[in-house]
Amino acid sequence: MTKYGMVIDLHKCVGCSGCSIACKNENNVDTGMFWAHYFHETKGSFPNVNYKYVPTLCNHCEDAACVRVCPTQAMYKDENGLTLHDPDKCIGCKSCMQACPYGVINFNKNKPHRRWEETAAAIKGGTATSKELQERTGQELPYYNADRAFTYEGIRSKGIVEKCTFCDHRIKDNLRPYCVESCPADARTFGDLDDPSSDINKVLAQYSSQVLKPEKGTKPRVFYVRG
Amino acid sequence: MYLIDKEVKEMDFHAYWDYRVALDLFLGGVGIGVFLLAAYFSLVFKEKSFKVTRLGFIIAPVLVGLGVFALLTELGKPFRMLSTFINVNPTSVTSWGGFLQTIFILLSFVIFLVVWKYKQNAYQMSLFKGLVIAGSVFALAVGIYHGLLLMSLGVAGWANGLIPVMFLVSSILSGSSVLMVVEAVFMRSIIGRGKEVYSETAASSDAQVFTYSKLLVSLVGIQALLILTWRISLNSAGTEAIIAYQNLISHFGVYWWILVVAIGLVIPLTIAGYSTLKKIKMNFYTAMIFTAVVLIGSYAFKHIILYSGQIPLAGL
Repeated sequence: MTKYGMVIDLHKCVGCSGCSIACKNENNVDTGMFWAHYFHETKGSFPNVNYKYVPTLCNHCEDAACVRVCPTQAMYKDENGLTLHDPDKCIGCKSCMQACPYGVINFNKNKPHRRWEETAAAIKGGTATSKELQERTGQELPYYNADRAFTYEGIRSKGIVEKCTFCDHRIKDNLRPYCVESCPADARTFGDLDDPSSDINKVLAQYSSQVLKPEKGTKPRVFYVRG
Repeated sequence: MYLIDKEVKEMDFHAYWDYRVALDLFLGGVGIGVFLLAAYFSLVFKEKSFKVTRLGFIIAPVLVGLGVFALLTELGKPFRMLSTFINVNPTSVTSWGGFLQTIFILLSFVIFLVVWKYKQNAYQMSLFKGLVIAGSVFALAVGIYHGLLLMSLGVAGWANGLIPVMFLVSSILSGSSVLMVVEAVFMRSIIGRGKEVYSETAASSDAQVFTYSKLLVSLVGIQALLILTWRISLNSAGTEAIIAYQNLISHFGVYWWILVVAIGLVIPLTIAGYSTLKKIKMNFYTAMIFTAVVLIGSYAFKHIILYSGQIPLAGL
């Protein structure tokens, strides 16, 4: 049985946020929300200072709190261990956001991608406005990845939540999640945790790993090594 | 591993659930409190409590319904609410809530219709008794559900077993106070007596006399004890619970001490306690003041618990 997971090598990660941008492009994630995000922390006092940049995303927890509390089963676990979201069942109650210990679920408070309706140019007289771009291209969303819609709504509507799916539309075609694919430092390893020969298990065997908030008992499937 | 940067968390903070959820918890709480006392009157004092219980049985579903309406306006997709009855998730307390509140509203409305149709005769009907008992069970369930909903989410500020109990007692207290005032306001015979009595309900009989003061002072006392116990329990409930309480005090401390403790507990405890100890009856205006402060305290309590629980735990 497949059980997908991800390892992030914090020693390799350079904190470029390329994963966040790649994710936005791949999944048509609106301004103001992130499926792939980060937090950073600075510990100690000069000269003994430790700075840490930690990329975050949905942990696709084995015992996902969001799945447990969702009143309509909109959040669910699929056969590959992915924590997925059915936008048609979601009532926008935000229980999942309350329950998620990692704060990786986003809520579409407003109509998404409204920025394409803006009539002000980024550089007055120098660039087109978003609205003009919309009109010239004849597309409501001039930058839109149609592939996303194969397994999930291409654009999630106002009033529902959304989150990382481990790019389930890609992995069904044996492709890696786009944050993994695009990481310039090759800091991310994705694979089947149930396959002893998978790359992810090799990395986990090589280094000791940590998960976020293990005390929450959610059994996250995103691991961090060399933190 | 330290996971969340304090600065980022503080910047990002906003309450996912706003005052409309607090209104649901508050109005629903008052509703079930009204119902439970009306149910008690109807079972013990029977037709002698006709006037007050008839009012209680219609006020209860209306208040719970208003609370649910407030909650619906907070949903991103309120028109999909019916899907909670189709796509049931047994592990979700929120999912239970849809059923509990709907069944309670329907039951209490049916009870009102029975009383409205059969008037005093309804109180001798076994069907009526059955409905009232069933309604009481669901009223209690809804009252517990309010706090359980928060507790079930695993949020540090809410993950305490006393939260559902405090919410329930707060609801019964506020509902009982409202029924006391409803009785005073709507029953002309009482007001007609020169704003005098009304601590003894019209439901009193030769054999039994119900005294609001005793019930209310007990409820306020229990609630004060519960809040004190809850506060003490936080000392040994771990770092997250302590920080959550510190968040409550740092963001809502003034409101907590003034609205919840002073206005919501100390003043009503003084009023009802004085009446009970001196064995005097609260007059109309005292009862109005009592109810007003209890309602303020109850709403403030639920609002503050709701909001403070959503403040990120800095440093964790």
